[in-house]
Amino acid sequence: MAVSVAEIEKPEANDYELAQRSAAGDLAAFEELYRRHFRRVFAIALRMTASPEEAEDLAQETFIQLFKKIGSFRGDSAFTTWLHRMTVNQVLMHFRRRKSRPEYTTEEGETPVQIVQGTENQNRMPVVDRIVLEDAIAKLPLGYRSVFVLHDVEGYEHNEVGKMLGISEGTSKSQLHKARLKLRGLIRQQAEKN
Amino acid sequence: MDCTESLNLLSDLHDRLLDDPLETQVKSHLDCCPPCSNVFGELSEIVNVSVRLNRDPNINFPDEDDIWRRMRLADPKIH
Repeated sequence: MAVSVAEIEKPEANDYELAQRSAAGDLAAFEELYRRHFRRVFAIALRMTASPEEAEDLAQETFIQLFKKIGSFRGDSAFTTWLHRMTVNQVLMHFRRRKSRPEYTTEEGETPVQIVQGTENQNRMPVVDRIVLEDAIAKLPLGYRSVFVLHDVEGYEHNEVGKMLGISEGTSKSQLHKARLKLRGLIRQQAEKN
Repeated sequence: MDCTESLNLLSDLHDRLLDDPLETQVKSHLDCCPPCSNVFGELSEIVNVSVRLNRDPNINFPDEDDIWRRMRLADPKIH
């Protein structure tokens, strides 16, 4: 009887199994987790810091933390959610240490965007391409940027974003809305300069 | 519904988080208010592009092998 390749191939271990093996000292399993998730971790760190050098260091630090804490992963949430929360914590700790981003915790710290009929530039916002949007995201205050990246780019729900950032679901919604309005303003501003 | 109220609800409208009666009110306002409708269209465009950033990241990723080696140097337990 013919045996297909799929039948003889060993099924790929899932993240939870790899985490358990890593916790038991299996470095190959840990390396597999690293290879699977490095890019997403780096992308989150990059979008939150807007600095490739800082993102590289933070991604490295995140995986060192992961190695130390992998035994505490119980599989209650998806491994990616747990790892991304760890990534966000690393980034936030980094900013707290540096204290160069005082705009964090900006639930109400930004001037609310007001649209008064007749006062706004009536020109349509220019076409948004990825580069324009990435540039604008980098200019957002950290609090807004964190929520925007996790919700709109990474696709987390508000309750998950809230848990990751230690804020309420309502605050996550409110910050997301302000972030989108702020981005719209930044994109328009940039277009007017050009 | 006035423009200020409408403006505050545009993200929730986009994300389908409003209950039906409120959604109807915001949509009715947008139908007769070009500036708010314009803001809604632009926010939607921003969200649509942001979703694509994750699907197809245009990022120069660093060398994974290099960082793996650095991690092993930084933490001797990773051997």
